Amino acid sequence: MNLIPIEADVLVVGGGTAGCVAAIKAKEALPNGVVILLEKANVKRSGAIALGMDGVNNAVLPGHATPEQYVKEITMANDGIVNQEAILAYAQQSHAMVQELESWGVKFQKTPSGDYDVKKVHHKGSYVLPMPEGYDMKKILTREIRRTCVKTENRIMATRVLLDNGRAAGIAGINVRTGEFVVIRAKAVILSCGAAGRLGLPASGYLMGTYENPANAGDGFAMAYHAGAELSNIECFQINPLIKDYNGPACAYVSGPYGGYTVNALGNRFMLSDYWSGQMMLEFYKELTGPNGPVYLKMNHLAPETVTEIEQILHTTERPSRGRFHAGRGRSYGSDWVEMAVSEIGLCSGHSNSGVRVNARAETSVPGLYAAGDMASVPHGYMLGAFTYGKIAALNAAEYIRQQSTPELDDAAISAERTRVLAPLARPDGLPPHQLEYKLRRHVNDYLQPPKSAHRLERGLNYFQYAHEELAQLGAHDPHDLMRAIECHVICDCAEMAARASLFRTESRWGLYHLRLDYPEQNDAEWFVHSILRKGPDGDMELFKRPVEPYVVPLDNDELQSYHQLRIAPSPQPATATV
Amino acid sequence: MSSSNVSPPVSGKAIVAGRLKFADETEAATATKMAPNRQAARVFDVPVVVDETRCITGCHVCVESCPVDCLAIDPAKGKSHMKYDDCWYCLACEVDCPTNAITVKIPLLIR
Repeated sequence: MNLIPIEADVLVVGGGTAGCVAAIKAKEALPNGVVILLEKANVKRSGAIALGMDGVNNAVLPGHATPEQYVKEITMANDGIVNQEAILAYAQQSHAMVQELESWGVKFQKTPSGDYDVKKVHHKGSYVLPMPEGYDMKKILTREIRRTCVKTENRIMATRVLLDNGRAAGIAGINVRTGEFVVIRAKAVILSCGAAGRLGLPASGYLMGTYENPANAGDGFAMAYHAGAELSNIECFQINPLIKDYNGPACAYVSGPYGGYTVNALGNRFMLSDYWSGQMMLEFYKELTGPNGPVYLKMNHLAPETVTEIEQILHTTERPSRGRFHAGRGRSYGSDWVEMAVSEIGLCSGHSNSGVRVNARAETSVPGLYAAGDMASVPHGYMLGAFTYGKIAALNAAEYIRQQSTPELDDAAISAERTRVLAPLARPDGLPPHQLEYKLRRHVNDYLQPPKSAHRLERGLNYFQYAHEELAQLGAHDPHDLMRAIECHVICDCAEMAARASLFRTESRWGLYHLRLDYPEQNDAEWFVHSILRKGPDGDMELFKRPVEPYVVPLDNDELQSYHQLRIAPSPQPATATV
Repeated sequence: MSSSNVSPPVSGKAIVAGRLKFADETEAATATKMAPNRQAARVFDVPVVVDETRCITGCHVCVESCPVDCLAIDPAKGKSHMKYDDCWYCLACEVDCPTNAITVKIPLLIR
């Protein structure tokens, strides 16, 4: 095969939140080295923050919170199953990252005296920092990428991590515009491919109506798995409270500090904290499906100028089409409550606790392979966690390659991958990718959506195994179709991981995220562990337990339980508001 | 049985109008598995609407902006259009278009 690989020192796969900072920081650390940033879309408008972000959800800023407080809060929100050292590494570098972003031109909300205008949304501490002008985040990052001379390759989708004797050696992939097969050799690979956001099917039935940017199909989860990396706590799904049908955040983090809050159909508040955790989602789900459902976000009691301020943020950043969605239905925050629903399931450490297992140096269990952002296992990272871990991954990768020679590429593996990924183009009459994707994701909803039970999960698993027969018949008319066909394989891999991990943990934990009807109790005696999933020696998925790393910030038992006390006792008098 | 058979084998029973042509359901299942895939076209109402009088020939800013790569230049007209039903209604194309030629509707299933 006369394929000439592109050569890199550090290769960053995915130019979203974590990937942009990883590429910038790797290039700064290796001014004479080659840093390549691969992006499936175009870096200027890609990833979870393609249209900016309305705020930082987890800033640990002096005078407002300490790193230790933050570690405690995230430990509680995850029922104790965390690598505290990895969370602490983020918390300690969070302030420096905010300062660096400011030096790049990112604007955070300040008080009249010039302090960061930090708000309380979490159950215990104050970490939310609004960014009313957060719409041009990707523009700022793209400018920094150009300034540092990172080599950017847009519209390239990585499909497999290449290995040299168990060490990361580069990637194989395709150009989604030309269908060209691409090989990049690198001394270190940083995966920052975002969440597995196209796992469940939104209730609207619209394939691309997902909470996550639908380009984030779970490519990173699948690539890390096939490279032999360990993934942790995959059964801890991402499920979010979203605007019904629109399927974007409303968002309690923006409106909460202004006085907006979640109510049931009677207009009563029922949760102490709107911060997204599994326990909060369980209360939300109970109310939504109970006699007092549906659930709403209430802002119509606020002063008109406050509502205007909220609208200015929500209708310009993150998901700016929220405004025309509401207006199209003749509704507004000032006059109506916003009907909410639960999202489809996904895998995303940014909001929950599932991902490719990394330590406080962003190293995966495969040498030379790093992971950061929504796909890496540091929980509740959100945007600032992704930025910070992008930087941590880059600095450690730059250090690692100093002792590494150029890896050898395995021609047989490359040839096999080329055959695999290009196969659908030879079958223009094959199964259409969007149709098979719908079927896969409909089965995810049918069998994996919590509350879970072994019988249902096994039915799902049965289909995801059978689906390989259908995946082998996928066809593609053009490179765009080919991208969607390969994503079907990714979605099926993620669905199988989600089913197997959910079957493995025979207890309930993380509220709604892993609610097992057949094992309704949390069982710390047997399950105060990480569940680890990886590719076994026979090529099948294997699961096992790993002990939770020793705590660096101890918690007493009462503290660990505090996220289980989010329910407010019902009020005797219904509020007098109109829907 | 060879997978290259376009027409699946059917048992020797006479085919009678109004009756199934297979001897039993196992034979039917095998035959339907081996039958080749065929496709039908379907028309969608798509969210991204391009005003061709404003869209600049030669510009492809929106095509580059789209995070799901659902836009393309129509080679016959030289204008942008929504080629694939993949829109995330994120507004990147609408915001980035230099001539305000694009209007993004909320997709029908959602609005």
